[in-house]
Amino acid sequence: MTLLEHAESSVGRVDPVTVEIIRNALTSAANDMNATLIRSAYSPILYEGGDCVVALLDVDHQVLGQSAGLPLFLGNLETCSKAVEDKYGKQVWQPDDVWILNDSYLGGTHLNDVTIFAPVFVDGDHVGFSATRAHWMDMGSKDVGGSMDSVDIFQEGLRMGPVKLHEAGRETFVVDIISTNVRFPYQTIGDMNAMIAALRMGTNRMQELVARYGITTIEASRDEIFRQTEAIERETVAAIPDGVYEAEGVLDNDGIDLDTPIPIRLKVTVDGDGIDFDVTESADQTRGPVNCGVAQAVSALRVGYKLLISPDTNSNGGSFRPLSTQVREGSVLGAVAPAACQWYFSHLGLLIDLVSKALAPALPGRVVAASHGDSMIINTAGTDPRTGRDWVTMEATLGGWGAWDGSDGESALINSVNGSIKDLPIEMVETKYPFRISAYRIEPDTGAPGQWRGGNGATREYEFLSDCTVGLWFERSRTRPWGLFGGEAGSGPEVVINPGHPDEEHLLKVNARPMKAGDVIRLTTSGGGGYGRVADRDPKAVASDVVNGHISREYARRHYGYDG
Amino acid sequence: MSSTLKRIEIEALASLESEGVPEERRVVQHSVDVRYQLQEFFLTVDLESAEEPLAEDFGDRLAERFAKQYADRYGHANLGAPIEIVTLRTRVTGVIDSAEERVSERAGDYGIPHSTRPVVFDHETQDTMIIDRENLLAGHAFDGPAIVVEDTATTVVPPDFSVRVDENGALIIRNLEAERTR
Repeated sequence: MTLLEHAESSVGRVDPVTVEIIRNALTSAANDMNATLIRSAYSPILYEGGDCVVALLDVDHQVLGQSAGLPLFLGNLETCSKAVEDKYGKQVWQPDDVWILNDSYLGGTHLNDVTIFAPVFVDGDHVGFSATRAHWMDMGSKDVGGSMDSVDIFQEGLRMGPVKLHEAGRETFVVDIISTNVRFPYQTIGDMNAMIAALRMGTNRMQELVARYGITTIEASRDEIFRQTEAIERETVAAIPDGVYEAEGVLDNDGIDLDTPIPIRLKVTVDGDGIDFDVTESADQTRGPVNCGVAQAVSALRVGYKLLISPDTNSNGGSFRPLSTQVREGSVLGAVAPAACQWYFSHLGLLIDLVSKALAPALPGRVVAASHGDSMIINTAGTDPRTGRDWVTMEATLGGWGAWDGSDGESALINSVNGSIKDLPIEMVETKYPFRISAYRIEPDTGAPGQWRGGNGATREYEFLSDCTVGLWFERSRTRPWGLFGGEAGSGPEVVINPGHPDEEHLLKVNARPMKAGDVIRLTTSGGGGYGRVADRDPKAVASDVVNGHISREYARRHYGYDG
Repeated sequence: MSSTLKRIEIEALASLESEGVPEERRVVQHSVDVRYQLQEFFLTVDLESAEEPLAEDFGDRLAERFAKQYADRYGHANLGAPIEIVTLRTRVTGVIDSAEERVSERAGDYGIPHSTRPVVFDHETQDTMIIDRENLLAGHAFDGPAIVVEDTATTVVPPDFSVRVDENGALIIRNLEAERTR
């Protein structure tokens, strides 16, 4: 398109200044929604961790504005309102209705990720949707907060297809079904109300925007924003040499059969300004809970795509248009009922890293070596002797990221799947729950050597002050965080119970293991992979790493021939 | 609760008195930070007076006031759900006229009195001027590195920053590199 044609086709209708105002107003509306959710939430995983995401969608379920939140929820909130429409038709949308859905095969994630959404009306016209998704601490699964060894969806708790939570402004009986099926109803209903508050904020903001600019201007701006986004992405994709690129890795196991690894295979085909991600050769769905619905597999591929193609722009309905995806139903990435889906993300983290690995030969300056790559979950549950109340926690552990051309990897970050989730502050954890964090540090020598070294993992150590149970989901010990272009691989994860004692025990995954008061558990996550050959590392950088404690003297001698 | 609020009020009013704020210009506002049990974030709810918590129906009143404020902010409220008081607040304000403009004495021809000490900036030791703020007068100008000390604050002027003292004695600090690229 020439500049002149462009001017006639779209800018003639909405001036660029208005487009920018509307673009930013939509993003800021999403940020307001997110703030409302976090500030009125009842669970630390939301108000401290931020395990949630919000979006405004148009009537065709395209994203108008989205909070940063969890990248893994990129562009799949729309599957929920679409699922309703597929089932009941467009006439189902009514003012002051609120819908809820957590079905893993529709939403793609585990039952704990609950999506609540509502149609937005202006003067009787349906103009779009307001949507939120947040992690609920417990859905009534067989073990508190979720099991590490579930073998079907029925063990994982309450599953809701799309149903109405509010009808014409009044709560339905669904609220009662929820509060009788989850273990922490007071907290859960509080979080549910926080999500509805966020929906209202989104609805108000959207109505204000429509009142101020009119739906025609907003739709024209939307088309222009989508067009720009698509054009930028197509240009970047077109610059990648055409060809077929492949990468594969394995998950350690499915949590049930600990000896059988689960292969994940990615084939990327670049053809002009289009790119196709094919994961159909990945493993069949497993008995254990490492399956996800198609929507999440697509999401993970979108994250991998976005990190390489358009890392600096907000995603919207124009994003991902050059990308097509092939996911096989019945595979771990396209689970069908009644597959267990509790730990739906481990292969997704691997997949995101595999996108980078596959495209490394084509985009050496953009790709990054593998990260620790998994959420590395610890869950605790028990009865607090101080209050007599039951508690449950669910924490993701930080790890090392991979290096890239021009920089060492970052140490102790949340994994790519989880994006802006925060680790829970020690002060908060120790106040709320009967355990102490006896160590929390960046673990030297865990990152991989290379011309650019991988970031280091972290160690977090818990000392329990009362009897309780612990669940662990630590991954990626078989496919350790690989390096690129001669860089080496990072360490694997390590979990030790009662280190240095006669009953010391090493393990990575376990369900509801009983712990006694005084027991200690030490979690160490992987470091990231290196980039480029060790021989090419600047000796001054090695010396500086030793001085700053990133690597030990022995490690520097062993890997870099350091003589200090 | 009431006696704690009253105690803070008396203490704060005495402090205003010692600063010479006349009685008719002292304003007191009591408030409490409230949230629903288990929440983290709270809303600040104003009280009528320090005595209000003594009223028999105070719990209900507070819950209602909080619910109203909560509904205004979040679009819904859970009247009847347990609430927690996180913090008691008493704000005492002395309403005073705005200050007269203070014009600083003009600097003369002589240099700025200072001592010199080695200070590390960005891993490099540099001889640095240590200046007493009282010695800075309107019109004075100098380049970093320097450290300006006074009773209530320490101002670090890194290398590549310049300082000018304006008519009111304020320090105007500029980044020389940013100035150059402008």
